Formats: sequence, C-alpha cells, structure tokens
Amino acid sequence: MDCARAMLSIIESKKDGHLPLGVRLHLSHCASCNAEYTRMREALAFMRSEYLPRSPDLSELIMTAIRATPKLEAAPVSFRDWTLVGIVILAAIAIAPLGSAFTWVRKSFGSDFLLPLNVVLGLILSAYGAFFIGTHLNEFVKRFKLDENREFEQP
Amino acid sequence: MSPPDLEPDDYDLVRMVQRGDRERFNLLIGRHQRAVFGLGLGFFKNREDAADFTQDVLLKAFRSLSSFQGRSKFSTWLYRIAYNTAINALKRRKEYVSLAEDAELPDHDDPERQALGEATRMAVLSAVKNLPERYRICVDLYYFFGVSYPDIETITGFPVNTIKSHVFRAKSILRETLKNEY
Repeated sequence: MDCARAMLSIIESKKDGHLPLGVRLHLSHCASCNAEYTRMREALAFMRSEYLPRSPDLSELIMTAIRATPKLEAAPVSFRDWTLVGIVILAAIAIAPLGSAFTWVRKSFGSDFLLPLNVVLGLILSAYGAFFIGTHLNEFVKRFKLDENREFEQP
Repeated sequence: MSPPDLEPDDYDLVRMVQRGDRERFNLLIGRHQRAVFGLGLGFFKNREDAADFTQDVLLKAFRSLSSFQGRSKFSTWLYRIAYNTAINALKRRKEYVSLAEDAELPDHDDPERQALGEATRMAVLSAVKNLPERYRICVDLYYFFGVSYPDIETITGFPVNTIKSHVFRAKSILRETLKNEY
C-alpha cells in the first residue's frame, strides 16, 4: 500500500482507531505516515478534551428531580424479541417430525403418542401466546387498533 | 500489571438503574453532562439555556431508561434524545453553531499544544463555514464528541453518505492544516 492510499483510508475510516490491516502494516514501516497519523489523533484527542465546554455541575439538581419521580417500570422484553422467539418455537415444532428422534418414537410407540404430544405442544404455545399478549396489551391495542379509547395497564 | 478496571461501564450502570438502583444514574450524569451541555450550547447559544436543556435531556433519559435495550451505545441513545429535544424546542429549525466558533482555548504553557489547539480549531472552522447550519452538527459530533458515522446517522437521521462526505471533507482539511502547521 502506498502513502497516498494509506492516508486516504485513514481519512475514510468510519471510526477513529479502527484501521484496516493493510493500513496498520503500512504505518508500522512508514515513519512519515505514522507521524502524520499520530498528529491527527493528537489533534482529535486535544479537541475532545479541551474544546468541549465545561458544564456546570447539574448532578444534584437532576438527582433531586429523579428521587421525586415514581419508580421506573421494569424493562419489558420487546415486541420484536417475543415475536422472533415465537417464530423459532413454531419452526422447531414444524421441523420436529422430520428428525430421527421423532421417527424412532413413532416406530416404537405407533401413533398413540401423537395426541398427548399435540396437547402438550398446544398448551406450551397457548401459554406463550397468553403471556406475550398479557405483557404487551397496550402494544397490541395500538398496533391492531383494537380500541383506541381504552388503555390497559401493563403488569 | 495494571489493576483491574473496577469502574462499571455505561451499559452496566443502565442495567443497575433499570433494576431499581436509581442513585447510580448520578454516575451517568457525571460522565455525560458535559457532552449534552456542549450540544445544548451549539443549539441555544447561551449557557443558561444550555444548562436547562442538559437537565431536561438527562431527566428525559432517566424516564425513558426502560426502553434502552443496549442495541446502541448509551451515549448514542442519549445524544439522539438531546438532538430531538433541541430540534423540537427550536420548532424543527435545525440551526446549529459549531462549538469551534465560540470555543475559547485555555492558555497552555506548552506552545506546541497551544499551536495544535489553534490549528485544529481553524480546521474545524474552515470545515463548517460553508456547510448549511443543519449539517454542522455532523462535523461537531465527529470532532468534539468522537461519534462514528453510523452513530451520527442514528442521532441525526441524516443519510450516512451525506455525513460521510461532510466528515471526510472536515478530516481532509484537518490533515492539510496540520501538514502546513508542522
């Protein structure tokens, strides 16, 4: 890599200090580029430490206001994560009959095990769905416009 | 051998606050109030308004902390709240004055550092002077706050290629300025 390309890569880098391997190799043996890069880093570090204006200490004021606010709600698991896990469970149930373990169970027990198995899987899915809906009532109401005038309390 | 780093990072502190230890938020305020105040100065141009803005933003952050899930850095999430708060307060006018325009560099005993400070300030000034006000914050976020391109996109909502071109130009100017100075 030549000096011009190395410096262009440095300037194009998305984040300081995250340089491609080729550039780092170039810097390790090119003293002038290394010096230029070091100067730029020093300039940036200097700017961040010296130019950012000093703030008055507001921590006590803010903490007083925070102590007066009601307790934070626990962070809920996001709608997206719940949906993704639900899809994974459904997919696992869908592909289970294709597995060798399932084939072995069917050979050993015939079709008698299918009814209890389906009941258990159905219960698991129902419990998952009920818990999901119960913890995200407000989001369901909003997303599916079930009742715009009613507000449900999250547990 | 260096001693182990016992200071919890932002993510750990957020988790502690989310679990109910609200006093830990004090540490987050200590770490970030200067940056939020800096952004406030860029938008409101006076220290009193910037201080009110800082309080407002940090309180908003505390109240919305349950929605922070750690997908971005806490600082990026906080700056996004700050940016939106400022834009809403200014009634969607995205006017921003670069910190380089009003910055006063403290006197340094070391003339080399003093020169470096002046050179970098001049570089930022030349980088922002021809930019529309709304985009000046991209250069400041990079230079003064050390925010990466993707995080600047998250904070401002500007297209990443626009940010890249402004920051690229600013970095090229810094390089040229430093070359001429030394």
